[in-house]
Amino acid sequence: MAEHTVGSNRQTELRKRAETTLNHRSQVPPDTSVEGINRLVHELLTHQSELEMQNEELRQAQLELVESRDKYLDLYDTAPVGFATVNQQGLILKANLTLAHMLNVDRPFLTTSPLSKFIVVDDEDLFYLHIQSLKTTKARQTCQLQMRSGKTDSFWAEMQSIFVEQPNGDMICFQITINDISVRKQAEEVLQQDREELENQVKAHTAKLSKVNRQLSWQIRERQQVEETVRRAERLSSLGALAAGIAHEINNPLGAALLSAETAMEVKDDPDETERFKKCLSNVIASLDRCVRIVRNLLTFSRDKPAVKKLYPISEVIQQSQDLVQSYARQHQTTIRLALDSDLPKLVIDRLEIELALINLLRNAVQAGGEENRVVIRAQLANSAVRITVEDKGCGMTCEQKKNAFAPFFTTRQTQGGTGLGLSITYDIVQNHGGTIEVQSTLGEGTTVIVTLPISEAVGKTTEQS
Amino acid sequence: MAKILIIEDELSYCDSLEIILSRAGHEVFIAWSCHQGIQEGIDCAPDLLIVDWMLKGDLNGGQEAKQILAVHPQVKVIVVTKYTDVARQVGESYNFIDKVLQKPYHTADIIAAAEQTLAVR
Repeated sequence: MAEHTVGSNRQTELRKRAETTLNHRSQVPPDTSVEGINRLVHELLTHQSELEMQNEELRQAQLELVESRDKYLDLYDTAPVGFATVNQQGLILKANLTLAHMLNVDRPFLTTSPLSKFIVVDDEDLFYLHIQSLKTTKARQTCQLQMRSGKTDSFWAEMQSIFVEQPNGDMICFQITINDISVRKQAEEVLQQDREELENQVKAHTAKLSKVNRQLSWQIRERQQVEETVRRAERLSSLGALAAGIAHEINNPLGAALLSAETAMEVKDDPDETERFKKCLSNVIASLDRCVRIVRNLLTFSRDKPAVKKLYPISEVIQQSQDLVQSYARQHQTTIRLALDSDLPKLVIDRLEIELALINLLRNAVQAGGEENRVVIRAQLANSAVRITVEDKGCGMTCEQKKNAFAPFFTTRQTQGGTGLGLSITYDIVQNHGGTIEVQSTLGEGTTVIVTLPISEAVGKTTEQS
Repeated sequence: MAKILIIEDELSYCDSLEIILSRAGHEVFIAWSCHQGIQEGIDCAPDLLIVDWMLKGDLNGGQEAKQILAVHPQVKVIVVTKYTDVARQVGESYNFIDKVLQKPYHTADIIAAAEQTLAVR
């Protein structure tokens, strides 16, 4: 009713304004002829129709505006994030329904409440800092903090705030969006827990692994020690076998020296035997000298020193090896023939090791027997290496024996006290010198072992210099 | 006095044996190798052969003696050796060997061995 009264008052006022305007305009007296009146009526009708149409259009536009406003309001209230407009004092000026739901309060209660009221006490400092940096930087700020929901509950919120200012730079308000990130936080916490658990597991595994590692390296060391002991034992065993031969070797010159000395005593007083006396004495010296040489070889061989590689003439090493096996060979009625090229170089080798390797090969060859009872050791220059072959015309090997020749503890002479380590050690020694070893054998016809020892470039130079 | 042939490839032994045995009144012949030994043995027909068991070459002392004995069956044989097990090896096939003397030995040993072996006729 009041609206209606306001409406008719407005119409009356509009009518008055129209009449006044018309009075100002109508300077020319109206045409009062019938024709003139008809024309005027027609014009008026046209205007009326025009006005009615404009009126309709205006009403339509107003309706659309209302609809649009409602849509935006709806969007504001039901958006999936909380919105709040906060003034400089921190009081909430406006808030959407979503925020009211989040905080579990009625919307009217929100307006004019300070936003800090809804922050969990522990995080109030965070909020304060958030607002301060927003004021200082005037740039968008983000923070994560816990907010209260109702009287007892709380939730994790992500707060994004922007600074709204007047053209002169004075602040008007903050626009704040608030997102409930509890689910995300929980997931993060679970993730963090999982990560920590994983890290703990990794730590535990690492500890376990390093323990196993320590045990393994300890075992490896132990194994190396055992291998070292076995090598030493094998060397001593070779030495033992050689000792018998060497004892015989020594016996001969020792006996000769004894006999010569006694003979010298016999003739010493005979003035006619001066020459023979001298001859006997020089025989004593020569024989004892041979003893000394043999003993020196034996000592060199048995000395248990760590591997030292030096430059040695390989032909000398081969000769010495043959010397050491000689008596063993004679015992087996076997001759060892040397066939060494004259141009053999010096090689950087551990002399004792190479001697041991060659002695093993020679002893094997002697043991192989054969009708001819002949072993030949050859050495020649082949490209950048020295090729040493030990050849016998003995029993030869089966395929199976050939396959296992270098395997530790494989022996065909178990009953004769073979350890099965000789060739395996020889193999190791040759490998340690960067060389190769190969067995060629035909059952019943004999065996040839081919050892190749490289002459390295550096060694070649040293040889030239020396 | 007897004819004694020594087959020994150790020259020092040869020298000493030659002096000792010749001073003991024997006629001494020396050979340093298998081949020379057989030839010398056949040529000089010794009363006693003193031969080293392990000689350089194809034959051992026993086989050497056998070849000489084939021509002169009366020859007495002493084998000298540095090996301890020769006495065992000297079995039936070498029953012609009169004595095995192990090296090293003294001058008195070899003189006694020679006298004893020669005394058995």
